[in-house]
Amino acid sequence: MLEQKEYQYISPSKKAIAKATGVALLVAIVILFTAVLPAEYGIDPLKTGAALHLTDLSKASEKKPEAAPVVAARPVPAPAGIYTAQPKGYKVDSEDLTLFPGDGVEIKYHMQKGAGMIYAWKATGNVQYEFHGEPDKKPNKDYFESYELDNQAGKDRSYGSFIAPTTGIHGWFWENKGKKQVDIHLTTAGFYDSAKMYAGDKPDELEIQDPK
Amino acid sequence: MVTGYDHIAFLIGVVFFLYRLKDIVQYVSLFTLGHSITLLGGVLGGIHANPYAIDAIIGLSVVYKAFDNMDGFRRFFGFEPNTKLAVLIFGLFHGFGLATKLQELTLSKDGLITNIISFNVGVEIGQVLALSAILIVLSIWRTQSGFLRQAFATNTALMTVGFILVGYQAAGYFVASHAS
Repeated sequence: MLEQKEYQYISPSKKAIAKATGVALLVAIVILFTAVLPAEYGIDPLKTGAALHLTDLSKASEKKPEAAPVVAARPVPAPAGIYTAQPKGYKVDSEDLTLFPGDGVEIKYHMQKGAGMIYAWKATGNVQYEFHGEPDKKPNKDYFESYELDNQAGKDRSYGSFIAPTTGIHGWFWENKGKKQVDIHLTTAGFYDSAKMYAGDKPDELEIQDPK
Repeated sequence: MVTGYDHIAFLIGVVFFLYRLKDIVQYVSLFTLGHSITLLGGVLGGIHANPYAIDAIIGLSVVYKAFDNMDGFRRFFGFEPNTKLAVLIFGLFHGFGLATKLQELTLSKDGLITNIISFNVGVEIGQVLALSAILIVLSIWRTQSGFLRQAFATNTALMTVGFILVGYQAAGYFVASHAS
């Protein structure tokens, strides 16, 4: 190969290579101690970093974490969805329900889309239940949306928070499939404007309270 | 070393005395193969190598290649290490360095392999662009009469860069271990 010939032709002497390696090492050490270490780590044994203002660089990078909390402390607009303001105050409701074996009952709250509610119910025994809702504008009479369903073993309590996905009535249907009477105690607080109980053919309007 | 100038320094050393495009492609491909293996393996296996140690080895690879370019191995030891093997091995170390750096970023598990490959492709594109610029300069330089003399000086400078990298990382290692 032509290039190899050229390469060998100038192949430097041992002495030249040794000298070059020594010079490289020496220059590297000098640059390392006079510039790199002061600038990167603030290590300045020869005080050359201070003279060249290189230690300021490492100080600048060290200061960054201190500056960060100041930026974070400034009021920043909350991301959308953290809170939803409402035109009216919220309501509270608590119901005591008794279910004999084979009985079913339903409690529904009328809420606007996006309104929130927190709830808790506790029963003296397991009940099958479905947490569901019916929009005011529904495609057909029997239409509903199921949020949570337990029609197997059932549960004796449930707590949570809820955001209405549609404007309409939202709540629970409980059914006692056991052989003993079950009492259910339900408490809710939320931005609903009315509540209904469905136990027979006709729904009963329930009285909801303002919070004390 | 996000800017990757250590990789570029090593690759300058590798292509310094390569004239034919075929050879350049061969060496660069070997390097890429090496660092792709350890980059993928390192991230997927969650291997955390000490970044200072890896970067110090990368610095040593620059010193090695500069010394090799000066014909130092043949002069002093009577043999020349297999350059292709050396490029592959140092490629493996460079990959570990990249893997450690990549793991410092927050990675989602979704499409991790795609992300690593994209990262790798990005690194590759960057290297090819930098190498193309270097090759243009080298090609013009080689036609000058003083090239061979200047080449020796340039490799001395390259070796200096390698030594600085080693010292910089070694110092970083001691600073970090004293801090923690």
